[in-house]
Amino acid sequence: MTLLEVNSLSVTYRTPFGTVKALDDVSFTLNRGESIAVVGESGSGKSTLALAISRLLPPNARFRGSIIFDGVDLAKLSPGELRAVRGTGIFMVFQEPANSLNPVYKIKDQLMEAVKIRYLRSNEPFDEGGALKEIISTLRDVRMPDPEVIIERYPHQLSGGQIQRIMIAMGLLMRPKLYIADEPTSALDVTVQAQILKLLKDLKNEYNLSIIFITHDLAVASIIGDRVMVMYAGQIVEEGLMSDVVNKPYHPYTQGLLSSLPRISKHEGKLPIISGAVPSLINPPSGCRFHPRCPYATDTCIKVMPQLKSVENRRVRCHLYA
Amino acid sequence: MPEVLIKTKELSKWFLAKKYGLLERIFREKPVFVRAVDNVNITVERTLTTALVGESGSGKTTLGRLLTTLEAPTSGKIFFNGVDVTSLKGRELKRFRTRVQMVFQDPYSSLDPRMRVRDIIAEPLLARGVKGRDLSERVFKIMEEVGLEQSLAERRPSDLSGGQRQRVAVARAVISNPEFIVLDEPTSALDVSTQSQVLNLLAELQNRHKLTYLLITHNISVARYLSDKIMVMYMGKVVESGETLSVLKEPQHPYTQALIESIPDIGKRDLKPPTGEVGSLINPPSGCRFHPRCPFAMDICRREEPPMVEVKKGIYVACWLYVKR
Ligand SMILES: Nc1ncnc2c1ncn2[C@@H]1O[C@H](COP(=O)(O)OP(=O)(O)OP(=O)(O)O)[C@@H](O)[C@H]1O
Ligand SMILES: Nc1ncnc2c1ncn2[C@@H]1O[C@H](COP(=O)(O)OP(=O)(O)OP(=O)(O)O)[C@@H](O)[C@H]1O
Ligand code: SF4
Ligand code: SF4
Ligand SMILES: [Mg+2]
Ligand SMILES: [Mg+2]
Repeated sequence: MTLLEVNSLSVTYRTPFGTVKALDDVSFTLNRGESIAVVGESGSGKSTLALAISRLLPPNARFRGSIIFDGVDLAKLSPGELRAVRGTGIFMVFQEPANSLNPVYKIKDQLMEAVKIRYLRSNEPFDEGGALKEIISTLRDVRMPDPEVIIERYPHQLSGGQIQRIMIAMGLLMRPKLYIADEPTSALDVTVQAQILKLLKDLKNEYNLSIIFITHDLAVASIIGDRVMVMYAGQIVEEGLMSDVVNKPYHPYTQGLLSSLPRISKHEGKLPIISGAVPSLINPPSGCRFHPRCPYATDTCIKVMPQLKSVENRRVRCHLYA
Repeated sequence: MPEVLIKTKELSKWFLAKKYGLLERIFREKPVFVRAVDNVNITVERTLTTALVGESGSGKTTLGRLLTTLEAPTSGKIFFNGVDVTSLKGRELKRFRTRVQMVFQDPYSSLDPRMRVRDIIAEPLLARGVKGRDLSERVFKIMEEVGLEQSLAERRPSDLSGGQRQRVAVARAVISNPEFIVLDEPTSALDVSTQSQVLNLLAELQNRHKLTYLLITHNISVARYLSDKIMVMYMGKVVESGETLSVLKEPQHPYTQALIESIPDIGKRDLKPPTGEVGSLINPPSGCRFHPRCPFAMDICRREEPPMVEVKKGIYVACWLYVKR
C-alpha cells in the first residue's frame, strides 16, 4: 500500500548569484512499512527533498509538483492543516538538529509532548508515570549516558550528538507513519550508529513505519534501505531495490560511488576515484549533468539530457540504457 | 624493521571537568577531572602510518595534541628520537615544534579565512626563516605536488571546495618536511569521491618523502587503507594495538570486536552493536572501563584494571580474558 507519492517535484532557491535548481523533476513512491535510502554527494539535493516533503523549505525556495501523503496533497494544505500532519503523520530529524528543539523547555517536557501526541492519536488515556519510564528507556536505547540527568536539561546544555539522539528518540516515541531522517547518525559513533539503525529497523518491522533515510554513505544506506535512490545534481539518476543496485549498479555515477568506498590497503594500490567535482546548480552542465565526470560520455550525452527510464525493475537516467 | 620515532611512558592528560574557582576552593570541593588520556604507553614507528581509532571522546585528538606538544601532559613522558620532549621549554620547544605538524579535522574552520592560500601554505617555512624566491618556489612546488592549480595561490579558503581546502592543509603540513604528522580525521568532512583523492595523495606523499603519520579516524576503511599499525582507544586507554590488517581481521579485545561488528558495509545485512550503557568519563567504570558493555565481563573485570599483554606476535591487548593466571 502506497503511503507517499511524490510527482514531478522541482525546487529552486533564489540567491544573489542566480537561481539554484536544487531539485529537478523528482518522482517516486514509498509503501507502508518500506524504507528508502537517499544517497548522493554533498549538494545533490537530499536535504532539499526532505524539507520539501515535510513542507519546511526556507522562504527563498519555490517548489512545483505534488506530494500525496496518505491520500492528501501536502502541496495544497494550509499552514494549520500542515501542522496537524506534521504532528502525527510525518516526523523529521534534521541534518543540523541544533534548532529543532524549543530552547525554553526542558528535554523532558518536549519528549513528554511527543508521547502525548501518540496517546492522543490512539485515544488511549495518558499516564505521565508510564510515559516518563518510556522516555528514560528510549533514551537508554539510543545510548544516551545518564538519561535521568539529561532530561532535566535545556537544549543549549547538550552537545550536537546528544541533541541528535534526543531527536531520534522523539521520533521513536511519537511513532509517525513516515519517519524522515536526514544524516541522523553522522555525528555519532559507529557503535551508537549501529544501535540506532537497529532501533529504526525494529520499529519499522513492529509498527509498519515507513522511512526515508538520507545519507552520503552508501554502506550505511545498505543497512537500512529496502530501496535506494541515488541523486546527482538535483536529479534521481538510479532507483531500485538496494540489493539489486549494490550488486550491479547500472548508472556510471552509482558505479563510481560504490567503487570509491575504500576496501584495499595502500600496499595494494591507489583507490579508484570519480574525477572532477560536483557541478554548480545555478548553471548545471548541458545534456547529462554527470557528463563532465563520466568515463563513458559521448556527444549525445553532452547535448541531450537522458530521461529516467525503467530498466528491468529499476529506474536509470543514462543514455547507455536507452 | 622500522625504527621507533616516538615512545610514550605512562602518558596522561586530565582536564578539569568544570570551572574550579574560588567558591569551590572555599567550600573545599574536590576538583572533578575528565581523564581524556590515562596512563598510555605507545610507540610510533618511522615511515609508517599508525592509526588511532575509537569512540568519540575516547581521547584520540588529545593524544595527537600531546604528541605534537600542542598540549602539555598532566603526567608521563614523550620520547621523540629518544629525547624527552615533555621537559622542553622556550626556544627549544619552539624549535621542536617545527619538526611536527598537525592536519585538523575540519577543512572549513582550520584555515584562516583572511589569508591567501600561498601564505597559509608558506607559514611553517616562514617560521623557519625561509624568504623570498626560495619561499615562493617551494610553495608552488608543493602546490603542484598536492594537485592544486597555481591560479589558486592568490585565493582565500572560502573560494575553495572541501577537497581543495584539505589539500591546502596537507600542503602546509608537508612543506617543511616534518618528521611526524598527525592527521586528525583528514577526510571525515569530505564526500567519498573526494575522500579517495585525498587518501591517494596522502599515501603518495608518504611514500615519496618517507613521512611518519599518526592517523586519527573513526572510519575503519580509511584506517585499513592508509595505516600499517593500529591502536584502538576506549575511554582514555589504548585497549588493543598491532598490525592493522591482523587486528581488523582477527580483533582480540571485546571492544575492538564490537566496533568491527558495528561497521556498516555493503552486503552486511545486520550489525551487532554492543549492549549496555556508555560509561561516564568523569566517573569511569571501575576495573576494565568496558565492563558495563562487555558480554564476557567477569568479577575481576569490575575490580581490577587489566594489564596490557602480548597475545600474538606484535598484538597487544588489555583484557583479563588474555591474562594467564
Ligand atoms: N536555503 C538555501 N538557499 C540557497 N541555496 C540553497 C539553500 N539550501 C540549499 N541550497 C543549495 O541547493 C543545493 C542542494 O542542497 P542540499 O542541502 O539539498 O544538498 P544535500 O544533498 O543535502 O547536501 P549535503 O550532503 O551537503 O547535506 C546546493 O547547491 C545548495 O547550495
Ligand atoms: N580543553 C579541554 N577541556 C576540558 N575537557 C576536554 C578538553 N579537550 C578535550 N576534553 C575532553 O576530553 C575527552 C577526550 O576528548 P578528545 O577530543 O581527545 O576525544 P576524541 O577521541 O578526539 O573524540 P572525537 O572522536 O569526538 O573527536 C572528552 O571527554 C572531551 O570532552
Ligand atoms: S548519459 Fe552519458 S554522460 Fe551521462 S551517465 Fe550515461 S554515459 Fe555517462
Ligand atoms: S577485561 Fe573483562 S570486561 Fe574488560 S574487555 Fe576483557 S573480558 Fe570484557
Ligand atoms: Mg543535506
Ligand atoms: Mg577528535
